[in-house]
Amino acid sequence: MTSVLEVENLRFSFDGRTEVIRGVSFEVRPADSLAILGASGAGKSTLLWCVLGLLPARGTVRILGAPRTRASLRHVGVVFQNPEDQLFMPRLLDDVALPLINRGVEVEQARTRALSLLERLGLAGACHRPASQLSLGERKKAAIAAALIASPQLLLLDEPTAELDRRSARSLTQELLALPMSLVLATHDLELARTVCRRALVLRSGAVMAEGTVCRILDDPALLERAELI
Amino acid sequence: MMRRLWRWGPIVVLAAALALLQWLSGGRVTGLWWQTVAVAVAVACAVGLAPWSRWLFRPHTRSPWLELSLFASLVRHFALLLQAEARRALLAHRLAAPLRYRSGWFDSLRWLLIAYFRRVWIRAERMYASLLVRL
Ligand SMILES: Nc1ncnc2c1ncn2[C@@H]1O[C@H](COP(=O)(O)OP(=O)(O)OP(=O)(O)O)[C@@H](O)[C@H]1O
Ligand SMILES: [Mg+2]
Repeated sequence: MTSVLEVENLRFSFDGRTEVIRGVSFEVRPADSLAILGASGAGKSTLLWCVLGLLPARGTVRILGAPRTRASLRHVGVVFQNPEDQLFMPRLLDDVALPLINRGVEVEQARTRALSLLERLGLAGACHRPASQLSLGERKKAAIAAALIASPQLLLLDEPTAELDRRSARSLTQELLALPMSLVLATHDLELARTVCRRALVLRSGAVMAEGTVCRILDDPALLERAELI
Repeated sequence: MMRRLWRWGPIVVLAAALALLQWLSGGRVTGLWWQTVAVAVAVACAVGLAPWSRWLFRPHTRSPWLELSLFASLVRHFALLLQAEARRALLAHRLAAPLRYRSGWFDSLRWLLIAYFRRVWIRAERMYASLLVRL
């Protein structure tokens, strides 16, 4: 089976001198889930942006077996660390429905599907308000809804639980567990990684420090200590 | 290095456009184009070399320098915000509506533009508020 995402020797530097991403390689297979773990500033967000081609990194990225192109972004759903950045329509409902409308689904039908997804995430009451009026946690859930609606084959999430209270975090975890697509989750929430992901990759100063099954990584306190995760 | 040079692209295009407009309107092509480039280079050097933090956080100075550097740093911050927010906004749009020119694409672009200015404005306000609190 071709892998959903293949990253090889990715390198990137913001200023042309110090590298922030230093030769990162990994692979995500269909229906697999990978946690990218690392302390603050380890380069998790930057790595995701490089993978998406939003920052001009060196190295190769293949999505669904083919070199990454503009078109392959269609199969990828992304939730930014700051969800404010990706919700811009006048109503939350339109933010979530937009990916469907753009793909040719009838507007009313798209809105109905968006509404039922928002209901599932407990946001139905807010669907007629602009995202800028929601709390950070609500915005995060809304951004997740907007990324999920088009059923991408790969979902990249940057710190999905960072602003959520424990209850919302738990319900989101359950949602993520039920998803059929491949997941890449950048986080320092070890609990979330353990519950949702099968594999983990530990980043430190932009380089891969360890890679393996989540159980093996998370049950190695010395490793987590060195990665500044505990 | 290449990326740094690319940043000068818009200035070069602006200078060329100025010269082109002068030429098209049948007038003499003046030195305006190189003056444009020279001013941009001078401003970039001044911004890059100025010891902003020293000026800003020298305690108990109420000199005109402080006022001036505060204003300049506000302008600089605003320019950086415009640039960073524009990149994020375009990115978000590309991910939300990946099929160019298809349904919802133009409409969402319009809303994106509105949201963009609102966000830059809010962030500039925050910056101003934090300056007021600190000084
Ligand atoms: N625009 C930028 N210009 C220069 N350096 C940057 C920029 N954005 C991030 N960095 C640097 O890149 C490194 C990695 O940042 P990144 O945001 O990827 O970390 P992270 O692992 O996502 O952290 P967090 O858990 O806090 O989100 C940091 O050292 C940061 O200072
Ligand atoms: Mg991050």
